[in-house]
Amino acid sequence: MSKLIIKDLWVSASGEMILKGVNLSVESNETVALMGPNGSGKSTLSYTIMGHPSYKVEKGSIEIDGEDILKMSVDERSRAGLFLAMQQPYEINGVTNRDFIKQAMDKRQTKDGHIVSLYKFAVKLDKAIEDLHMEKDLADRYVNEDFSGGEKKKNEILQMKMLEPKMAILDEIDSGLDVDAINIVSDNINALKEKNKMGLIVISHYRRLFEHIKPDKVAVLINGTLVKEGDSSLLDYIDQNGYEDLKKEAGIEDEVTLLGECAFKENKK
Amino acid sequence: MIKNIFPSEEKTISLSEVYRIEKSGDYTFKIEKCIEASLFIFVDLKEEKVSLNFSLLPYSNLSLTIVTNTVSSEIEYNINLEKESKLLFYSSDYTEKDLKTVKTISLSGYHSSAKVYEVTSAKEEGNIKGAFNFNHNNSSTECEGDFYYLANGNTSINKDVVALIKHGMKDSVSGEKIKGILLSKNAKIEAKPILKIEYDEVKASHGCAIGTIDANEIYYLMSRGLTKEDAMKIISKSFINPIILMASKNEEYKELVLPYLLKTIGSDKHEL
Ligand SMILES: Nc1ncnc2c1ncn2[C@@H]1O[C@H](COP(=O)(O)OP(=O)(O)OP(=O)(O)O)[C@@H](O)[C@H]1O
Ligand SMILES: [Mg+2]
Repeated sequence: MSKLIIKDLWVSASGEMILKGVNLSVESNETVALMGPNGSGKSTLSYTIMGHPSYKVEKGSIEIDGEDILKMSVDERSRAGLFLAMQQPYEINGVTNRDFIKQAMDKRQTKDGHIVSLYKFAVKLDKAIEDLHMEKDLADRYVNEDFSGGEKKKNEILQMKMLEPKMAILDEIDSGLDVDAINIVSDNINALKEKNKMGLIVISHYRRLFEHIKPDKVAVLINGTLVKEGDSSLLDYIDQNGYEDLKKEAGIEDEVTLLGECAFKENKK
Repeated sequence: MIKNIFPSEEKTISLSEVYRIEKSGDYTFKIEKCIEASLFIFVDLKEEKVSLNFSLLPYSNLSLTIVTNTVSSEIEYNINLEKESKLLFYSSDYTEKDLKTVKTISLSGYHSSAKVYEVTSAKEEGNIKGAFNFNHNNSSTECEGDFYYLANGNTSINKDVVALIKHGMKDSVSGEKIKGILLSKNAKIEAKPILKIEYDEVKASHGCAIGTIDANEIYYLMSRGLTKEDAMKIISKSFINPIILMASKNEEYKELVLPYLLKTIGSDKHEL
């Protein structure tokens, strides 16, 4: 049983405050849907959890199982069981998927002295590629280079299947995927969750994804502040009404960033 | 079988041959007319000076791999291509201290062509100087080159890549790309791509980019659990992968040079 707890998180980038006091938690076998308008800070939150150097934590804490992850380096966070499927995965020319995933797996297992054998690794990789209906040659191609938008997203899930994290943040994993691919990818995510009781923060703009990956709770981030948490009925509400009413309800008006803090306090009451 | 060649000797190459060179001197390799050959050379020096000469006769085709390991040396390669001959050249240079290289490809015959992939690096305190010259001495000659300079510690690398297209050499194509990778704060790379074109009907392009490894690439790898050092190493290794691939065409040669190729990226472990 694992638990990721984010408390009063304030984060800036390039001198500008983007997250303004976010509180969120997710535990094993739980799925949190994170929604919010463009630019509200969803990716910022994801990157901050995964230690991206562009984002500076000004205040607050993030813990996994009582351990302060803000003290950990990016790779330590990964080895502690966190995984981020990025909205825009980076490309690495000259490094093959196979080489890099094998090294990532080797790192994970050295603690108890067992490195996955080359044979077992190859079998697992082949199986994962097949499960995701990916082209076989993707294993030996350079990481994300010349991958289509959908292939990049599948490649993130491929890595997740190989690394088997305790907690995963999936940032718009559905963007760029065709209808069939959404089904395939969701099935794979659900299967891994089932197998490992993985905790999930799933970011998406579309309700459709949450028909495949059923959330236990839905959180709405607007202007760097979590303005509402609820059950899946909130998905229907957003689908029909958009974010305008939620913004008003929270006292957030567009372009007035300062209100973020007040909005959060109001919301908490 | 790894063969020896003595200074001042001339060898005619057929099929696939592996040589090891350890002594100062001039060495000459000849590829006969219409012959297709692969030549793998390991140049293992301390403080010697060597000059390697290659002569590709008309219609010949050479795939040449040279891995160099030195402490403090001077190296000269002269490669001459006659009519319709083709060269594929993979070159890796590593030095513990000082290295001076002058490599010249002369496209002397009509429609001769060369493709080059070069990696150069030194240990912490290295000092590398040199030039790579492409001389287009005939019309319809083509060359293409990718150059990777990796600088660690206090290393300084100073290299020119010069393409000379003489007057009247129409329909010639020359394209060279330099990439310098600074692996530490104190490392220095000065690379100059120089184009000397004396004629109009040619296509030439030169590119040069010097910088550190992209921070986002490192972040991506680290977010999957690789340490920063591993991430830098795996990205550096991507620069020597094409040479490893080439060397792998001869199992014995690969075994011989792999440890030295790994040295170029600051790794002596057998990680493959
Ligand atoms: N590195 C950065 N430097 C400066 N500003 C940034 C940086 N990253 C994000 N921002 C800004 O922070 C805000 C939140 O961006 P973020 O990418 O987190 O939004 P998002 O909720 O993921 O949006 P989307 O739904 O469009 O993906 C935006 O205004 C964005 O321009
Ligand atoms: Mg985003």
